[in-house]
Amino acid sequence: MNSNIPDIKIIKQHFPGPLTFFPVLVVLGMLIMYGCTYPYEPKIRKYENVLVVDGLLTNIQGNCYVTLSRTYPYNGKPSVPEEGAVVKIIDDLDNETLLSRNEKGIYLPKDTSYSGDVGRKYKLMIRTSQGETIESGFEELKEPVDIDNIYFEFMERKNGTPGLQIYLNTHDPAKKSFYYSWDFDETWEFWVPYNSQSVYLPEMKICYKNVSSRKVLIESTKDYIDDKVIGFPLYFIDNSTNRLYEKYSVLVRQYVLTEGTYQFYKDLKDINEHTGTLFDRTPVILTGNMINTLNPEQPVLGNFQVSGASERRLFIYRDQIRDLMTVPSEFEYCEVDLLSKINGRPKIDSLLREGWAIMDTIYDTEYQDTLFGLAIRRACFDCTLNGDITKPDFWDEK
Amino acid sequence: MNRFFLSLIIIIFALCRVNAQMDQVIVGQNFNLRSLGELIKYIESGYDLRFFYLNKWTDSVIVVQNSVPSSLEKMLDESLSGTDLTYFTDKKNIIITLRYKIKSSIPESLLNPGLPDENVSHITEENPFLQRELTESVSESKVIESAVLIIGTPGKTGPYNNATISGVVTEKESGQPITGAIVFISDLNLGTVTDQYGYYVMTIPPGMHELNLRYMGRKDQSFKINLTGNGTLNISMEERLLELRGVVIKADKDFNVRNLQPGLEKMDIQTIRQVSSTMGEGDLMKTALLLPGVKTVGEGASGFNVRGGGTDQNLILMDGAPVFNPSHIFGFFSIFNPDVVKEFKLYKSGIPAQYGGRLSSVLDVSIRNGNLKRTSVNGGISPVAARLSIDGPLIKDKASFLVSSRSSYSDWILRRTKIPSLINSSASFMDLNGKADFSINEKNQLTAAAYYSTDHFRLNSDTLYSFRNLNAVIDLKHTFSKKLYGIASGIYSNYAYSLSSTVRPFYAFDLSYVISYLEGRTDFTWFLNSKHKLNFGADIIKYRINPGSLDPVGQTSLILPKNLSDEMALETGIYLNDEFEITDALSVNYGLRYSGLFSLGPSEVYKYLPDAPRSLQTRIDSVYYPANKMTGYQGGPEFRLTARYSLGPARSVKFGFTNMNQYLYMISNTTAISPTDFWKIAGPNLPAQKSHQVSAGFYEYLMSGKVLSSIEVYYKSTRNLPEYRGGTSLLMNPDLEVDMLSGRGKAYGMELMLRKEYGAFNGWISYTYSRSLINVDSKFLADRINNGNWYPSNYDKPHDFTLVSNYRFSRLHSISTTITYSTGRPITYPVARYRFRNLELLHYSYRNEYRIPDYFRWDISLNFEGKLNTKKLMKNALSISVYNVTGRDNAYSVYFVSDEIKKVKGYKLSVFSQPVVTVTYDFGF
Repeated sequence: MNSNIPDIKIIKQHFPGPLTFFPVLVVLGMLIMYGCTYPYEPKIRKYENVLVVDGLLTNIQGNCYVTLSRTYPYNGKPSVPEEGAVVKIIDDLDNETLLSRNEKGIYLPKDTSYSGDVGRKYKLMIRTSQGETIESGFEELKEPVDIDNIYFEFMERKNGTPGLQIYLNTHDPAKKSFYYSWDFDETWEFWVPYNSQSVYLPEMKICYKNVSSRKVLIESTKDYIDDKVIGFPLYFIDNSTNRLYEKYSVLVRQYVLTEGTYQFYKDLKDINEHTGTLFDRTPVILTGNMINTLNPEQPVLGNFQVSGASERRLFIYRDQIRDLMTVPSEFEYCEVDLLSKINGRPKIDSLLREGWAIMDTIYDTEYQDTLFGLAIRRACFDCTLNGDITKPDFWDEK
Repeated sequence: MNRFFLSLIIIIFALCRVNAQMDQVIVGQNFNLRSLGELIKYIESGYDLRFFYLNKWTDSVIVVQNSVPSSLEKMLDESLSGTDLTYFTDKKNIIITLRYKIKSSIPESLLNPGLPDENVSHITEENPFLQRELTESVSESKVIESAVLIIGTPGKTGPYNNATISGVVTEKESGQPITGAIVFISDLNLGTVTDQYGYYVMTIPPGMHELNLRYMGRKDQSFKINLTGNGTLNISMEERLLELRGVVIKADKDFNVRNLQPGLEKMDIQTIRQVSSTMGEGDLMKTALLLPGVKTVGEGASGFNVRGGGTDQNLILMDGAPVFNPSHIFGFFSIFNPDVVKEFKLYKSGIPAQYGGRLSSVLDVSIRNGNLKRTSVNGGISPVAARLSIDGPLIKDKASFLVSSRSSYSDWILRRTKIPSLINSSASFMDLNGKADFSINEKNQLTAAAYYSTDHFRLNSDTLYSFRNLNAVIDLKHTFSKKLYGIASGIYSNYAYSLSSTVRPFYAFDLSYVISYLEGRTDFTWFLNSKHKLNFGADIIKYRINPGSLDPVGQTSLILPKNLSDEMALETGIYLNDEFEITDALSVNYGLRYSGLFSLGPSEVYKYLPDAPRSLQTRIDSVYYPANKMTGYQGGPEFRLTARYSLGPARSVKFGFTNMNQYLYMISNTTAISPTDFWKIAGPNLPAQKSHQVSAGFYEYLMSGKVLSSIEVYYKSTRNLPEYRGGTSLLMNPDLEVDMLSGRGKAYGMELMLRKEYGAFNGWISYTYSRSLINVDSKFLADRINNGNWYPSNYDKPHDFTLVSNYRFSRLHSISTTITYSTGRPITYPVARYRFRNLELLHYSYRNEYRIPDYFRWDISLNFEGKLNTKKLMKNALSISVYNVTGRDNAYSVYFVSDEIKKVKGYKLSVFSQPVVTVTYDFGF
């Protein structure tokens, strides 16, 4: 090793200083001048404090929760979940189930195996610490419908991005479900390219990442000949993520909705997703099935969803897609830099603040001194930064 | 500046001169290679011939004289050939012009050979030029004839010893009638305006009068008439080829102020083309938007808003047939092809009683008739579309035809917008106009017109939208007497749209909507006497709407066919209107229209619980009516009044009251008209929309009549405006009435305008302050919007400033510029954010509480007309226009998107955020 390395080799792309920012700004400016949609944050003075209820009850054990929160100002920070409320679910046979708040602010039934029964009707009742009483109507838990199939197809998006489109098929032989919604949890295994030998534990190489869906996925078969959903496009995995790099899995949950809940989601999509067109819909107050019984003029946002639910898991292995597309590694940016003592403490500290870490050190045995540090972005050797090191129990199912 | 005639040196030598005509003059002296000025001086000193020219032109012209003696004619021809100068002569006067020729056709212009009448007196064959009194103040554009026309059969006079003079005013080149030409008897201070058939009639005392005729863009004419009895004077007006500074005859000025209707705007195609050649097409609706009181929610939005009314509250007529969707490519273009438009009239208030059915305005667009004299071809190419039209006589001077088509050939405009959702889109349109008119005989005239257009577009998705407009009109005009004529019309209009998606074969579908309209009407105009002009008539309309039919496409499609039952209704109207001139200063136009709607089966009529919000659960009863059975009737009187009081020769005040009923609803829950918005007819559970408007105005001519200033104020209230509950699917909804709410509207405003209509420099400047508010309140919580408080409508833009100016710096070159500024339209912003599931969502509450940034746009267009070649008659025009010169990124909307990291972000959408340059080439021969 050469002992007189003069300075830290800094890769410019990773450290945009004021100077390197400049051309970026110019390019951005040009985009703004010629582009037609660009960020614009209007000054919003008003704020309305409204209670938000998010409740779910299905026939699946453990799939029941209620969250209570308040709206927060447009320019403000998210509010903390509502405390001190009495939350209970009542069925049409007058059975009461009390929900209590856990440390994350979510109200859960005491009996973790609690689930709803198909055909029963359920009502959510809430008394907040401020004395408001919020109730839903009785919502029927519809019979769940199995997911027939989840599959993928390789395709290119209109903008040319290649990826996998995930589809779903389902049908109700009894032809009485009509309204469906889906959500899903993605899990994938990823490997970081570097290993720390001396500073950190070497086991931080393989992790699993979990992501829950963030889109409202609904479909109504009311206008179809059959109560059948074929080829419903759930989502698209483009090749800019490393989801498909090693092994990938998704758990899709299918809910059979009441008509009211379906309509609630449809409006939610219209108002929050279908925007930026020439024909935007006039926004309206979006309320679901929750009503403030003492003061009905006070809106309550959110919805209590009672559904028959079913689940299905899909695995995608690297081998299955290798011929279809190339998945770039997420870690191509990883480069190791050599830090020497000459760089001094402040410089090293600032690097560390930027998300770098000393992965390993080089110790000069002759002088008994640590001469160099091998610095790298921490995510390049520590998978726990972006994932969970414990292997999910379903991981080896298939 | 080539306004040369005004600075023309008129040289009159009062010497004793030889009486000769120009072609008789032989020059015996050798002028070869001497200056033209010398020759002119020599001729003028020796003969009673007069030359008109500018010294600086002739100074450099060398006389060519090949032999001595030589004829003056030959010398002039040879000397001027090779220069830009030409000359015109009436044998006595020689007018030298630079770069263009004067056409001599004055004698013909006084007669209309197409409509011979035994009472038309033929003007003397002598060239009237000769009899003109040349004084320094007389310009070419004002040709005062000294010949006296003797009109009428002596003895045939009307009551009170008055005689009626009537006739038709036509365009000289095409024989087509001129609407709105001013016929004015200056010595009586009495005048009228020609109607849409070019017809005028006046009852005046017999005797000597001076009749003036004036129309914008045409040469003013003045006749001395000796009215001996009832008679006809048909006049054809020549195009004002020499663009001179307009000379305002004092009497006309007074007349204009007297005749202005409050809230009426009128514009012909020349003005439309000059003012807005946005994206290369002279666009009628874009021009209308520049008028005070006319607004839009944003550029690219379909339709317009008049005095705080919705886009559905405008009756848009094309030769009398209603147009249900006036736009191509969403709203970037109007369906009116500039090649065939003659003019439009926009009534903002004081709507005459013959019109009904919409609350806010009437946009009456006239399509020109074919040329009765010769065949002509016009066309044009712009980056968006190509146009071609052919018109000409079928039987010379009796029957004509017009066929015109326009077709887009690129998605040019969509690529200019740079809106992500439009870049991956495509759009195309075509339209076809046809018109034929036939003067069967003196008493009967038949006109038929048809229009067809189609649009297709795909909006960044796999859904293909198409719509179609089809309309046809047939008019028979019968003249019962000089004072009474009537028109019987048959009108058909059909608008349909469809959307289809075939990308997912299991869900491939086709959805369509159709409205068809069949109308029969008669309109009579009766010139009762010099004080009263009556209009009366009746109309009946049959509507048939298919509100939606959904069909599967292909064998695999799972779509369940669904067809909503048709809506049928008959709308009727009878009206009477009287234009009554009470005194010289005061005149009123009052009218009554009685309209009604008969709703017809087959349909199910529901009853709802009276003390609960309407819903499927509160339906208590239903009655089924079979086909053609009446399910309900509603109707009522509509009062119309306008009054004018003159405060002197150049000043007047006006007052108007308008009361309208509208039986058609446009169903839309978007800010701008969307491709799937549709029309629905009122019925037993959906009462007609109603409006009342009062307006008043003050008008004055300033700067010796060159500039008209006006101020108008109005207040309008409307009832039964459609609004919708949140969470309503409008399309394919058989129970729409359950989800509709009823609102009230109020709008008020003040419109200020200064307008210079004539001259090389013309245009207008206007400022409008106006408000438009809506209230949806009910005793039921679910039936309220905005908590039952008033909120601004989507098109409430209080301040609006418009400057339109045209400057013609030579006869062939002109520059136009428009500047518009307006307050940003209202928009609903969220009052809070919240979390639901994994999403960050927005909570909206108070409607339209905020505004998008203000709108400002500056456009420039340069127009070059090709040199007119009198032999080939080929006309070329090139227009270069820049839309949004400053490239200001005017906001169309502000919207919010929740991105991947759960964070909602605001965005601004602007349609044209950079200047758009267009070059358009037009031709005609």
